[in-house]
Amino acid sequence: MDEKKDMTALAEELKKYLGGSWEEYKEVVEYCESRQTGLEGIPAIIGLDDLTDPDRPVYQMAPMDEALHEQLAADTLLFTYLYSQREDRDPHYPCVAPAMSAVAERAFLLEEGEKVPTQYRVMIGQKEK
Amino acid sequence: MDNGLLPAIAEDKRTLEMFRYLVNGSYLRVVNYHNTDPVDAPRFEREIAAFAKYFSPVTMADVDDFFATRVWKKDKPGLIPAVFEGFRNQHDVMLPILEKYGFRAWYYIPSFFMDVPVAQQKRFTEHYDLTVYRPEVYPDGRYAMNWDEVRRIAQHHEICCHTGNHYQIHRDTEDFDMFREIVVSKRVLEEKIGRPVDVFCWLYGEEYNYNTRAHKYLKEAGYRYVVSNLKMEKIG
Repeated sequence: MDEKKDMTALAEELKKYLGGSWEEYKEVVEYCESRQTGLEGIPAIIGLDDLTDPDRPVYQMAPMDEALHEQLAADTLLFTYLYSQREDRDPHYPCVAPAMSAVAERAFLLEEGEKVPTQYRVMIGQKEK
Repeated sequence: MDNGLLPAIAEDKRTLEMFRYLVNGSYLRVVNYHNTDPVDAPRFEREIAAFAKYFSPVTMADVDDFFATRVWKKDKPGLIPAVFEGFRNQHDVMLPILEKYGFRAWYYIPSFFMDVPVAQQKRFTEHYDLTVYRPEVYPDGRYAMNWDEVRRIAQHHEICCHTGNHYQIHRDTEDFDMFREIVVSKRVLEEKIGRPVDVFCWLYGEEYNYNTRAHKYLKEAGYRYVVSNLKMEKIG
């Protein structure tokens, strides 16, 4: 197995999901860092891990998530990278933790008939679509 | 794209774990709340109304079934409003909104907080990192729910244990402290609400394997799930 080739392929795949919109992702991170976590509802995504039966890792999702989950997975890597670049990051705290909230903020739902996911802020009427 | 992307992904194993959960469809949405003050009620209502429109509430039975069958059986994805700390405003402000829209929340309760005398609650919140942002809302100084309020919530919502004292368990925490914060805290909650408590949540979102010395206490207490910032882990 050519590890370097696999890594290059992964990076190329991520570029496809990114669609050249780093600025949009950076804006989401800046917004997330501006929230008052003690006062606001903070969206996030948590993984489900069955430690009693780890050999069945695949779950059948609701229809909305069938269309959205690969985007969320790619966003996890992209936001983790962006948090790793922050000068104010806590080195004892994994970058994927705030990233999972950014993932949820950027693409909380996919409305029927839509191709572009809806931000959490838009869903709750705090920001125009 | 910066050359640092792949090293950033590989830096912590949990990044690719989360990637894997998402690709495999093993995840849930949560929205985490701490203080739910009256001044913010309009925003909370917009949120819960949106949850009810686009998502399905999640019961303990739904989670059990999702893990057992690996199939989410509702048309809409599941979403858990996760309400932390046992603050009184979570009963007074959040509960009526949840009931108005018929949505179910999971309340994470530090179970010793309810029994702290009112006169000592301010000091308790300061000592155990329970930040009350607007103390003026309750001039009587009662910031915690009382047990009647917890029982009212328990009628339609999930009650989970968030230690006893809102106590951070480290890898070197003494055994008797872990017993109190993991085992005794659960027994208190169960006695007060009259039903089993299946979920434990560490402070600051540590996962099950953060402290392997705690495993015997989680088992002795009889928890079935451990929830952290990143995961819900089924342990029994």
